[in-house]
Amino acid sequence: MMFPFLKTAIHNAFTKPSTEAFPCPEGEGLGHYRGRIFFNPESCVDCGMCIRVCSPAAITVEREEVEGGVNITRTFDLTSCTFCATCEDFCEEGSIKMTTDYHMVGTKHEDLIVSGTTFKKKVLGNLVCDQDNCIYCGLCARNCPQNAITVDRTTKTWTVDHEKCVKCGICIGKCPKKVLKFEEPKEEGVVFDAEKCVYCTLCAKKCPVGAIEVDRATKTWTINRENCIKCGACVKGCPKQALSMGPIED
Amino acid sequence: MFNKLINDSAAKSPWLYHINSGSCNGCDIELVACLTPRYDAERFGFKLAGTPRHADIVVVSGPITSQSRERLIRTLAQVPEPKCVVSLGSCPKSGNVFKGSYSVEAPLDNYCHVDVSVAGCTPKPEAIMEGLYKAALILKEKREAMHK
Amino acid sequence: MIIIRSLFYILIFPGVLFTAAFGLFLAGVDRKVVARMQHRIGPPLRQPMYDFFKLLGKETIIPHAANKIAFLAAPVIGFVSLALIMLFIPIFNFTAFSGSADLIVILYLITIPGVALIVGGSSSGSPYAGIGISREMVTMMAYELPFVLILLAVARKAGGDTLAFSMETISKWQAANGSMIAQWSMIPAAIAMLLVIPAEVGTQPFDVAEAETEICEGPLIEYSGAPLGLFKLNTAMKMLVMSGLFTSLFFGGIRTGFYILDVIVFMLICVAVTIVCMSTIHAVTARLKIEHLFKFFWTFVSGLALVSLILVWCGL
Repeated sequence: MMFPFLKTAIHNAFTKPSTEAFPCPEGEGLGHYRGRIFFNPESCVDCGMCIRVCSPAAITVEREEVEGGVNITRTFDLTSCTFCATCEDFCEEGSIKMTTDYHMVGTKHEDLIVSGTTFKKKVLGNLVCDQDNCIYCGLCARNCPQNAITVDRTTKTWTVDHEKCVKCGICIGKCPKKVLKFEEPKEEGVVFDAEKCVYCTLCAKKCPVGAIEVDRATKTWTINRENCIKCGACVKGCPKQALSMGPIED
Repeated sequence: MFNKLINDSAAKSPWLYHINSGSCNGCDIELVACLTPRYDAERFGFKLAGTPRHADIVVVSGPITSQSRERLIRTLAQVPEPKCVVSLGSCPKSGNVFKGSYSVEAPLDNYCHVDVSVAGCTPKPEAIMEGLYKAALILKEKREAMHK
Repeated sequence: MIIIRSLFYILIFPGVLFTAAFGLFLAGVDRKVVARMQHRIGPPLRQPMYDFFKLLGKETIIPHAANKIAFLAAPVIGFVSLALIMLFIPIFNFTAFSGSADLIVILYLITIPGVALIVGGSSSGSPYAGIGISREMVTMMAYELPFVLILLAVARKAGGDTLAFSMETISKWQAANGSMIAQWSMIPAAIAMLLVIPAEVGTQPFDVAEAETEICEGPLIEYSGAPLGLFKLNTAMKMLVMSGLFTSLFFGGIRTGFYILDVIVFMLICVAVTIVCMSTIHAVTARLKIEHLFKFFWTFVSGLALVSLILVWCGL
């Protein structure tokens, strides 16, 4: 009958036990431990990337319209979180951090929720790209958290889906040529190309509200924008394709 | 006469019973790590009991799978009063990544009143001990309320 | 007058109160020493007392399939018999009740707590309890044989040519001729007794009957509340009874002259016996299977006791 542990046991009985004190001393040897989430609402741009990558869907958002913008409350449910830190990795602005705080014990659900409110000013306008200077590198498309931008290098096209775009502005920061910006959509109306026009006055005759005035003698073409109903009859009737519907340059 | 002694003893000698309702075993390992020499939960009187009839604190881990749901309810009914239920990890509280699955029936709040929840995936043994300590104090309050 | 004295012996010292209190203390010492050997802090010495009082405050659930009377009476029977045994064990000079056949009475009474566990387990109506009680029965059969041989050896040694079953006679013989432990022919019997004690008490490595997570605590599976508290108290009292029996059988020759000092020395030797035979073996071994346990007791331990018996019978 062998008792291999006997000597160790008797020796242990006379030495100091190796138990840690309780409550345990703070912050020793925790290293990169992923504990309670720390959220900084000031730097959040509401790109929605954290919600996309969170596997247990622990992050929820509530938006409340106020004057001048939106109040965005982001809630991190620690009782659902799996502490993978993917949200920390993907957050561009660094607003989410995993602290080393492991004391996550609560008797009520409210003890285990981290939330913060951001105020986001209303962004007027949609995303536009100055296609003359764009090099079609695709960095904006790759970094878009909602996959709203499509860039094709071979055909040199740049498109954005305005429904998906959340106007976070991350693409603007990533563009190396600084060709992206939010622009108020220009009013659409009849565009006049002076080089192609022969002043035949057909458009003035076709206009149902009489908004166009053409003078053959002085070679002037004017349109009363207030009366124009944008029906497009003048565009269809022009034999020289000097008129088109598009954004009006003032 | 002995009432005060009995009430005090309720917090000083809490016996644990652990139910694994479909857990990945991560939280189970950390729970028994609490009883190792480094964290030593036994110095507060914690002891793992072999049967739910001996238990004071029931520790539940795992999202409640459909197969274990019936057994969980029956086991919880076998624990004598006063008792405390502790949900260990984020699975029993919300289902964690298994939310919405066809065979997962979290949260535990649907089946019993959860007294303490320890969040984490998995929670550290120090956090588990804090949660168990809190549960022991709640036990004392329950015992006092039982025999007012 | 004699009634008051008897009541004092039965209820206070060395009866119910002393056995319960000191038994719980010994159980606490056992847990603390095991913890220290495992290099951790361990529960306070009063922990079994807290356990007992907490159990008094819990709800008692009686299962539907259980036999109510046997279920509730079993722990009480064990408790009463253990308190009774302590009255027959002399504390060196002093015996509460002594007759001419003390050892036989003790032998019979010591089986009762085991039987109470078996009755309690079988009346719970649980199949796990059924497995537990069959193991408890085998354990009892296993340790009864060497136990009887040890008692016979001690009785023969103290009686000379006859068998002296009276504890008072054994105590007086040791005072005159030196403690039994000092007689070289009784040393195998002492070692055998040290191995029988953990089996009687039900501590590792011989706890295959109860307190086992494999069969959900065996006979105690359906107990809760006050009856369970009584069963745990029985275990603690049995620790005292067995170590007390060992002390008075093998160390009974110590006479300090002062009565209080006698009691203190008795208690200290009980603590030492607990630490040596219960805690140390608990900390360094795993649990034996039932067939290994049976074989161990009927070969090795019985062999030791038999050696002592033969030596004593030959007059050595």
